[in-house]
Amino acid sequence: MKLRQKYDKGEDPPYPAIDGELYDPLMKRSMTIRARVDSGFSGSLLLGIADYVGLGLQHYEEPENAIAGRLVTGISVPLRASRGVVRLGSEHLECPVYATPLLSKPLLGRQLLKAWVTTLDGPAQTTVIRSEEGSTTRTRGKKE
Amino acid sequence: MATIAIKNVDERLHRQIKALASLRGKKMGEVVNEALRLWILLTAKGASMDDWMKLEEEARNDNAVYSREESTLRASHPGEYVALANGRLLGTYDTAKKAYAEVLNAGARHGIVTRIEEKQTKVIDLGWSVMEQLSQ
Repeated sequence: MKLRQKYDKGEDPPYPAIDGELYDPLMKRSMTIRARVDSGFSGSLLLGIADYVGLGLQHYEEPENAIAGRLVTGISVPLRASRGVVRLGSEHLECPVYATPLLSKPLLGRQLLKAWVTTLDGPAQTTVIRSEEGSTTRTRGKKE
Repeated sequence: MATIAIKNVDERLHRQIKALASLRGKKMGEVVNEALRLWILLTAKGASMDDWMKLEEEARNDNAVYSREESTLRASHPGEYVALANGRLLGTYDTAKKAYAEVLNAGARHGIVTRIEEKQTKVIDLGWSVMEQLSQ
């Protein structure tokens, strides 16, 4: 798989972003998401509450004592934690999905970034994502 | 209407708000209500806060049941998946998918599905982007 996706130009300078499809764990509902690439976020995918509830992920949560969010200031904040399936190109990857009311634009963090080779092409304002041969990514689709 | 006393309000901010409220012919209580409504609107980022509060309430009930049953489940069904919804334990299952389906069938607003095992709290660093979005 190799994908090239344009940066999010909603900010100056533009933000590296990844477009994908997010499914609930039963693959019954899905939504298209544009997530900002954020290597400072240690989780997989962080959503605002509107997207999280929109996809019905509150039905599949982990108990609240299993997960805690930590702001850069060191303060702990409650975090909802559920599960989902992310589809990028032909690849599907099951992963935890987190939510906080503090957020409006989804973030994609290190827990997912480790599954692919991600390159930021600054001059072209493009994020390039490819999977390596022998990658541990769980795929359900056919590789390109 | 509730009566609340607030400590540690920024003195300069308090003077500014009093002056502005007076100019607009408003009482402090009205200004505080407006400010709180605005804060909820900004924090909810477009979602219905009422729905979120109802969800929080159901989540509290489900989590209370899970906390109460956790040690018993670890002893009796280790490695299986437990499903909780509507403030009660729905059952234990050999796969997560069966547990997910059971929560959906229960017609609840919220559910918990987790593997029955000893758990350490996992800390997720949220990074700077969250702080950036908070200030927007």
